[in-house]
Amino acid sequence: MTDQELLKLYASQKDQQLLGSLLQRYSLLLFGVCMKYLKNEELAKDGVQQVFLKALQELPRYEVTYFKSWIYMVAKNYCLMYLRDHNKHVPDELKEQHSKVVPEDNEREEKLEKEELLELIEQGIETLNTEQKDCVTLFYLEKKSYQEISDRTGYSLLQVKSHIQNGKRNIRIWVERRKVV
Amino acid sequence: MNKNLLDILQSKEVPIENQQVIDYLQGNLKPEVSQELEQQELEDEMMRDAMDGLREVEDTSRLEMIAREMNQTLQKKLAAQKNKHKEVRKWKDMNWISLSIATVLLIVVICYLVMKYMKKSGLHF
Repeated sequence: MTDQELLKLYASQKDQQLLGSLLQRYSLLLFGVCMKYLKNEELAKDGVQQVFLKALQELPRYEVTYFKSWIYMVAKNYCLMYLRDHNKHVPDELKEQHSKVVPEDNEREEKLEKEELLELIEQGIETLNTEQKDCVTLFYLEKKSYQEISDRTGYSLLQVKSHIQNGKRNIRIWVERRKVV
Repeated sequence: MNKNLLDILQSKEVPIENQQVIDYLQGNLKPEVSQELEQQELEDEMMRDAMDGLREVEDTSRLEMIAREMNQTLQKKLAAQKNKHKEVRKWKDMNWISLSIATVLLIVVICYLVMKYMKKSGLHF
C-alpha cells in the first residue's frame, strides 16, 4: 500500500494505528536526516520523536498530499529550529526552507525525444572532468555500486558518491541549457 | 546508445524499506541491489540526507536497535494518545450525566419553591 493510500484509509477509518504504520516506514530515514544535521544520536532520536508527535497532531487535522515531502520538511524544520535555539551553525542547505513539496516533474524531459535526450546526455558526459566522467560512466552505464567503483578507481566511497552526485548535477545543468538554446 | 543514461535525469520517489537500508549500510546487499539503492539515493533529496546521516553511525550493527527503539516509542505514543482520547470521551460522558442530574435537581428545587410560595400566599391550583 502506498503512503497516499494509507493516508486515505486513515481519513476514512480514523484508526491511529494506520498513521503509526505510515510513520514507522520513515523512522530510520528520519533518524538519518536528524543525524545529518544534529550530529548526535540522542539528539537525532529526540528529533524523530518530535517529528512523530507533530505528525500525530497535524495529520488528523490537515490533508497532506505528498507525505514524504511533508515529513521531510517537518524534520528539517525541527533541526533548523533546534540549531538556531542552541546557537549552533546552521548549514546553508537547511536554510533553504522551501524544499520541493512535490516530486520533481519529468514532463519536460519526456517531451524531448528520447534519442535526442540520450545524445545530449552523452555530450554532457564528455564535458565532465575525468573523475566525474569515470564514476558516472561506471555507475550509470555499467551499473556498478559505490563499493565496486571505489575498488576499481581507488577513490574513497565518499569521493565516488560526490563525483557521481556532482557529475549528475552538471549533466542536468548542461542538458537544461541545451534545451533552452 | 545506452538507455541507462536516461537514469541520470531521473528523479522519482520510490518507497524504501528500513531493513533494506540497514542491510545496505551493513554491506549485506548484492552489488546490483546496492547500486539500485544508491541510484535512488541520488534521485531522492530526503534519502540523500538520510543516508549521509546514517553513514555517521559508526557501529552499523546498532542500526536495527535504533530503528526498533524509535518504533517502540512511537507505539507508546500511539497508545498514550488512544488512552487520552478515551479519557476525554469518558470525561465528556461524565459531564453529560452531571449536567442532567443538576438540571433535574434544579427543576425539583424550583418546583418546591414555587409550591411553597403559593401555599404561603394562599394560592391554589
